[in-house]
Amino acid sequence: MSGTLIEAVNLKKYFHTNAGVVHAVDDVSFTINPGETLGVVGESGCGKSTLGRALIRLYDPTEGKVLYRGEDIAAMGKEEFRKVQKRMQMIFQDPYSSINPHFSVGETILDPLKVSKTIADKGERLAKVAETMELCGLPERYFNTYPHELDGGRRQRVGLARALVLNPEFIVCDEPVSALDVSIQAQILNLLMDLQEQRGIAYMFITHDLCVVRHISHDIMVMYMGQVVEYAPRDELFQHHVHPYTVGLLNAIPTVDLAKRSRERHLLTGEVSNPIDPAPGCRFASRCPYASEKCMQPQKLAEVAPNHFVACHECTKQ
Amino acid sequence: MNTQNVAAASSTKAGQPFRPSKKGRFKLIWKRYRRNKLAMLGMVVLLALLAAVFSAPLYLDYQEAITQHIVDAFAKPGSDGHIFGTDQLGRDLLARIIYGGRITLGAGLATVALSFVGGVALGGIAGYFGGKVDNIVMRLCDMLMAIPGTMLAMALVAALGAGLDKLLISLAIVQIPSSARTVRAAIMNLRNSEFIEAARCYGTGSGRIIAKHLLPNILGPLIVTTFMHLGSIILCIAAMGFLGIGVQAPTPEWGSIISENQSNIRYYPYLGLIPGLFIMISVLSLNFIGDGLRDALDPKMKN
Repeated sequence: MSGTLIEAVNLKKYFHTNAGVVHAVDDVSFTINPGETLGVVGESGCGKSTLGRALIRLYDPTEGKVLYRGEDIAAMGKEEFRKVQKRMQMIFQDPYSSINPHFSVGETILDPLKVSKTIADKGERLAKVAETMELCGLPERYFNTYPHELDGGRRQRVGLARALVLNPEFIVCDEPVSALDVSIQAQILNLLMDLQEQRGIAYMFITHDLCVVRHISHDIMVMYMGQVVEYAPRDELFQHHVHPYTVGLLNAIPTVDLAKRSRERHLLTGEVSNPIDPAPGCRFASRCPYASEKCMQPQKLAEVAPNHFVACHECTKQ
Repeated sequence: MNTQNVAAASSTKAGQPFRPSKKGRFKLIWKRYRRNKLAMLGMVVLLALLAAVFSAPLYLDYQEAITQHIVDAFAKPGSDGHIFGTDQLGRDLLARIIYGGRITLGAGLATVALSFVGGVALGGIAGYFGGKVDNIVMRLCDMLMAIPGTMLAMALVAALGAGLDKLLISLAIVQIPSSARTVRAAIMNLRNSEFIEAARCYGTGSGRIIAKHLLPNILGPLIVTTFMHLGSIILCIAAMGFLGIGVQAPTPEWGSIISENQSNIRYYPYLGLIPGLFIMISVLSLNFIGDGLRDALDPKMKN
């Protein structure tokens, strides 16, 4: 069962709007192994969520492929894809809008089983729901409760249970904790990590919270305006980040160490430039303190250390 | 963890401590509905009206409503056996109202139902699929809305031929564009919600998404707006009768009772007031029911 679970190959997703073509995801490639977590970080609007949705075919990619165990999911027939679909689920950011207010907790978790027809017997379906609720820390008495009666953390558990009930191998977590308060964030993150340990689920964990991503990820991918700027194993990234954007991001994490009070910080200035019809060069160039002529040419991801890729000609020079 | 799971699973099979029951849901809706006094009143009144009107042949001869007794014309309400009095042709007003209600309420409710179904279907499809489908459906609706309602209904009746059923269909067609518009707007609002995306994640088809996820969320306000149309539909039926389309002369019908007596209302106001009162009562009770249903269908309302 080893080998790559999910692979994105030169994945592109463009949106055609009246103002022009939005390059939401532009030429992104990566792999996720079973039981591993890929953290995706970047500021709002950099295409993280679009990427996640494209992976489970909520959006069809403009170009490129998503491979599930080596098979292109966009090329699959309807029936074939239904089988794969069950193995890839998603949990959402907002626990308030991601659950149908007219479904009770039980119905919400039962619905995937009904729709995907994984379990034919009604009693077995209910048993599976009960088991999943237990697993997600939802007491059985919530079965007939409606979502508005639950707090954010419990709602997020319902969202998680809805994804888990189909026994997925891969879950796209689209900022699942950013709408929760810190104590509940920790609970949900630990639950996700426990599940990974028990069931070998792979995650793609989309977030803008760097502490969270450090806690949960094996690999981390930093995105800027639809492109990958840096991609490395977690510890490598936190210790030897080289791309100016990553440096800026990590410097923005507040520290509690008084000795570091007067440290030099390279904080980012300026705004994200327009993602509509971007110029071919490095998209970060307009905000980059080291920008030069060469930045106007397209930047390729290059390996600076084992498994550590950076898309910046400055960083790969030495 | 695992042992707990097994325990949970087995306890479920044995004792079924929980189960999702449709019955439970209706019970909850009923419980919430019952708490609304006005809605209960509306329901009781409407049911009583419907029962009285539709069981009419059991206790009242239809001839009472259409046979003319010129000598008895303009008898005051309450005078010898005519509780509501008589009209200019000496027909008993109570009998006419009872038999008229069969047509007014029957046709009115049927039109409301038809336009509800048509509006939900068209608006749902337009709102859910968007793009070209939306454009085609909504431009068709715009075309229908550009023509004044009564004119359009007349034209449709003329094209379809006379008869109450044809009238009903044409009135429904007149109402459909506006309810389709309401449904479409509400669905477009919800279409991109995360819970719809979540449902798509596990492969829910478009039909099920519309029926199970979108419609329940817009049903409440939709019922209210649709029920409010009943008043205008009743008036439209009356106008049609007045113009000689649809319900023909001796046949009683609330709207046409008012219109055929309009020249006498000045001296015999009860001829307009009493049927008007019945129209008002039925429209009002239906609106109360609509309001009550909207609140009862919303799970966020406290139990």
